[in-house]
Amino acid sequence: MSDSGRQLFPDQNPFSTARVKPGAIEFHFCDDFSAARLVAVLQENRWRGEVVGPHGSGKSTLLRTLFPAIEAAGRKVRCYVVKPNDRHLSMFTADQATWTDSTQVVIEGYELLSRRGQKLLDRVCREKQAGLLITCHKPQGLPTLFQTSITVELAISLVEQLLSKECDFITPADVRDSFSRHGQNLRELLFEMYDLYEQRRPQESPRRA
Amino acid sequence: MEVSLDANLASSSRSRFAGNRNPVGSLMEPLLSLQIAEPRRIYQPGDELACECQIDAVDAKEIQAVETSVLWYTEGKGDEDLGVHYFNRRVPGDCENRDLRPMHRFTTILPNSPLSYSGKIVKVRWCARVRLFLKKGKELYFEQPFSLGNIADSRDDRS
Amino acid sequence: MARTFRLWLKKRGGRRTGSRLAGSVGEAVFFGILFLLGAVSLTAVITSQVRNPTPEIYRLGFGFWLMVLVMASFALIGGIGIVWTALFAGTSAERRSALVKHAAGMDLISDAMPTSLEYPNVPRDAYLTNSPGVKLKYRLPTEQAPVWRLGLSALIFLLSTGMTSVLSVIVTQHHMAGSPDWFLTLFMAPLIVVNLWAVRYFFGELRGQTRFGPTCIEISDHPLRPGSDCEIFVSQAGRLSLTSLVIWLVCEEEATYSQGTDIRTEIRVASRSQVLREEATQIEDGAPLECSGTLRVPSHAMHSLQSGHNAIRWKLVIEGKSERSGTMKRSFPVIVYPTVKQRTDA
Repeated sequence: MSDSGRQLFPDQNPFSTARVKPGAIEFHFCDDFSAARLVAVLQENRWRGEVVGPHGSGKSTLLRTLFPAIEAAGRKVRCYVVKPNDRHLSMFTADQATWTDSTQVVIEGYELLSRRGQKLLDRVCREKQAGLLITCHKPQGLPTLFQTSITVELAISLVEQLLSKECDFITPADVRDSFSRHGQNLRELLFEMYDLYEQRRPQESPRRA
Repeated sequence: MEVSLDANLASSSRSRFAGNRNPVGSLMEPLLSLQIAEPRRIYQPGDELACECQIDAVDAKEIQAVETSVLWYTEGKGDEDLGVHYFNRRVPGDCENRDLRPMHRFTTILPNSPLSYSGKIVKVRWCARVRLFLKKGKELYFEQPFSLGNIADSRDDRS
Repeated sequence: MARTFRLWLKKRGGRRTGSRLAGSVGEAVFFGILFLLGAVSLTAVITSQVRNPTPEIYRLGFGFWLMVLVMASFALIGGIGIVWTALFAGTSAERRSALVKHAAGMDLISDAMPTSLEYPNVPRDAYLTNSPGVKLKYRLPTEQAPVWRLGLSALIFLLSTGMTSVLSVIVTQHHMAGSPDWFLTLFMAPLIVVNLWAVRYFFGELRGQTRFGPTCIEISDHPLRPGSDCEIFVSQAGRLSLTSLVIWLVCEEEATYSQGTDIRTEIRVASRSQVLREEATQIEDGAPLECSGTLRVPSHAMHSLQSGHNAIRWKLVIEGKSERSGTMKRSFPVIVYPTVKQRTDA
């Protein structure tokens, strides 16, 4: 809701969920990977693929970075998130009739689907010739499009990107320390940075009515 | 209500793009300004909030609609919640000369809750917002924060 | 307190004809015996038929099947009874009523009534003020009853006792038939040890729950407002020696973040202030500890808030420490409304 780049309030925390949620920050590709290249690979695999990675490693962020490129390739993205209390296909049963060969079905949390749900989804996508892109923590048998992973350098780079230039009370040493505890879970690392920022930010003078 | 994110930094009086980052078909980007009429920054429940907004540097025919709102939202470690207290949408047909650019004033009586709050993992923010809809699907928005209520910072409590 | 059980008795308030602890234990023992009787008998009948089947008794009618039905009923009723006793031991009347209404696990806070138009996003307090107090105007409901540990111990007790009794019957039958199964016999030893531990664990939990009897908190005014005072009365029942009993006024922030398949909820204490404190006191059965004082909400405190993913909650938390009975912690939610001030002129 608040602007990601503008300091509207003096006590605004750069690590609040609005600033770090998928879509708020771009996915940082390493080496010569890019969104366009990944979409090209996806297209070569007949629009089927999986993004594999541990919790909080940026799978959802990567998806949101890929969506514009997928849509630019002429496909309509239909994204569904499987919740632990809804492991069947009820969420997209109504939508299936609208899927076509230009639909890119995206499933976050594919592993949470029941085995029957997974088979049914795969069958429907094949029948409609719709693409299927999933996120998972372990390979599920689709062509691996990308494996997300976090390095300490990437974590430091992201934290520095979020902090303002004037902020000197969170250092790379803090990020390294947090990384040693949370490893591949960047989400938990950023939440810890939130707490650190709250503890260390300078106290403002009391307001008067 | 959807809020589009914009990575471009700007000063408090300039407009902000949402969605497409390319300028709107002119050399200058549209200029949105929003001011809270009364100079004091801490309001109380029941106070009247008066705001003025104005649009410049854009042709009147390019404007599809202007929305003004007074809202609150949460910020912190949880998903954001939003509550709209005041909302008004104007289209060119609402104005005599079909021009939405001149200064427009709007007022609202502020509610009893929720009050502005700066907590450890939950914060409650209030702001007035103006959103400009241009042709070809482009949007710009600008917001001006204010405080409602006189709640102590949770960090003041050392217990 | 009456010494003998009377058939006809008009009761008012919290008077009882006997010890709450004895009642809960007795209930558990009764249902336990019923369960054992049913389980053992059923096992004996089924195993005897497995070893020496007599098909002529399987025809429908009064006889074999009726016996199976009766024994199965004993086991079922006994098992349910133990779990029921475990759930309601040490709970207040309000919580029992709430549990009955929402058997799937009701959270009193999240099921609070919708907010009013006058105070948007401030939870309604109707469910907190629908129970009048004895000394003061309102009696607060407790936030949760610590049932899961007792329920878990009851489940472990049932399972281990059931398994042990069934295997005991089988082993005994083998020995009596002159063909002892030594492997199974030796296996019974550790199983009996586990079962004895489960029995001790269950009754220990039951005793812990009932030693710290019900807690009653009453306040003179609700909702609360920042800077306001009201009277508070606390009554702690049980049969134990307390080293300390402290009542806190706590403000918590709760934030829920869901991304993809991950849902993360964090609760953080924003403020905590001591309301009452009692040191080194003895509580006797039928003579609860009673204390009263003033409940003061800090000025400029944030009001209660409930939105889709975030909340600010106030509660009274009572912490009791006992050397022999451990620690008790119970929470009583309250609602803090915003202070409505006069409009200020520009």
